Amino acid sequence: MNHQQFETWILQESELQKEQKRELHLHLKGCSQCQAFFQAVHQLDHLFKTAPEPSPSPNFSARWMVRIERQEKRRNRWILGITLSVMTLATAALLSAVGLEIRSAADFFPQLLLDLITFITHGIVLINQISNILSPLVRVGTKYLSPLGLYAVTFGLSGITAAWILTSLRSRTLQKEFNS
Amino acid sequence: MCSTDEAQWIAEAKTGDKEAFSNLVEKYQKPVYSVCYRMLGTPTAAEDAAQEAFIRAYKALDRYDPDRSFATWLLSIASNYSIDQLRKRKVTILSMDNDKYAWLAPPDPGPNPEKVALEREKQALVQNILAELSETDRAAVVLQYWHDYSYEEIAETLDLSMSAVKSRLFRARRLLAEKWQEMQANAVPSVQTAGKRIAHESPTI
Repeated sequence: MNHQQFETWILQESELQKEQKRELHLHLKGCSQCQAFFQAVHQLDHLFKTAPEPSPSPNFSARWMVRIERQEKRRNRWILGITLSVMTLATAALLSAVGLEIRSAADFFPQLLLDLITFITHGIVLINQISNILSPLVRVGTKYLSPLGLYAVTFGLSGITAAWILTSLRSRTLQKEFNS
Repeated sequence: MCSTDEAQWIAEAKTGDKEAFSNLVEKYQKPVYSVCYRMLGTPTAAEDAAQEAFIRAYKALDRYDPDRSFATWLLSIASNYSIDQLRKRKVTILSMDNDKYAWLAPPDPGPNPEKVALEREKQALVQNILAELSETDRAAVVLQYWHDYSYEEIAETLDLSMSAVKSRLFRARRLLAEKWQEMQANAVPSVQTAGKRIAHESPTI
């Protein structure tokens, strides 16, 4: 006997036609295999419908609030860490550039002092500008970029900044040499 | 399509107001937790997944389309997160019969210890049998049985075609019925007792 059709009807969720119902009923009366299958399907339906709905333990939303605040604090610390690394990198680049300047211009102390003051002023302005550019970028970046992407952008930016500082210093040195 | 309150909370949450979003957490904690529990099988995993689903929803609120039901959108995040969790690591489905984990079971619904024991038994049976299904089939069954989702809503939630949902559900029902028969035929006494009780409770031909 082919049970396939009856099995399909038993599992079918939409209402069977009158004739199909009658046929299935007749078949089930004489087939213990399909009857057992029919009962298993209905027992399972019943089990699923009567199983109690699981609920979270009390104060779920309070725990959610704690969790998201902890995540946000961690993210803010991470942003601060990246900003500080960029600053450190930029400062290191500046200091090494200043070191080069000192060696090349040791004979001209007053001029060097003036240059140094100008340089620090420029440096402060530059850091300020970088921070102005970076802070909205970091805000947007943390929202849309993955942590890896953010790292790549940060290192890219710090690399460009360092290269720019070194190039401008180098061109100034060359200009001075040319003038003298 | 949301209620006025809900739309207001969503609008406020979009501006970064976590308090407003916590109203949505309060409102939807039960269905979200329920999906995660049915998918992952343990209260701790369900709690963690439900919390994470709400965090993901909060962060992705800008991408929420207000023409869609917020509940459907939220449950799709919860079910997809649970599917990912199941795929990432094989979650051990723990039986609630196990005394070691009994304290993790949902709180007692009433003072009747017999009723509590029965409900735990049912819960354990449901989880044991759901564990037989693949992640996606399990999600489809959970959304259909416990959240009354239509084929269309399941398809939208799980990113499947309607015909795929129908065939997955059909296959899942067959597999579950076969597993149920198998469990009753040669299983542990608790399954047999529960089976007899359910057989007694459920309608027959």
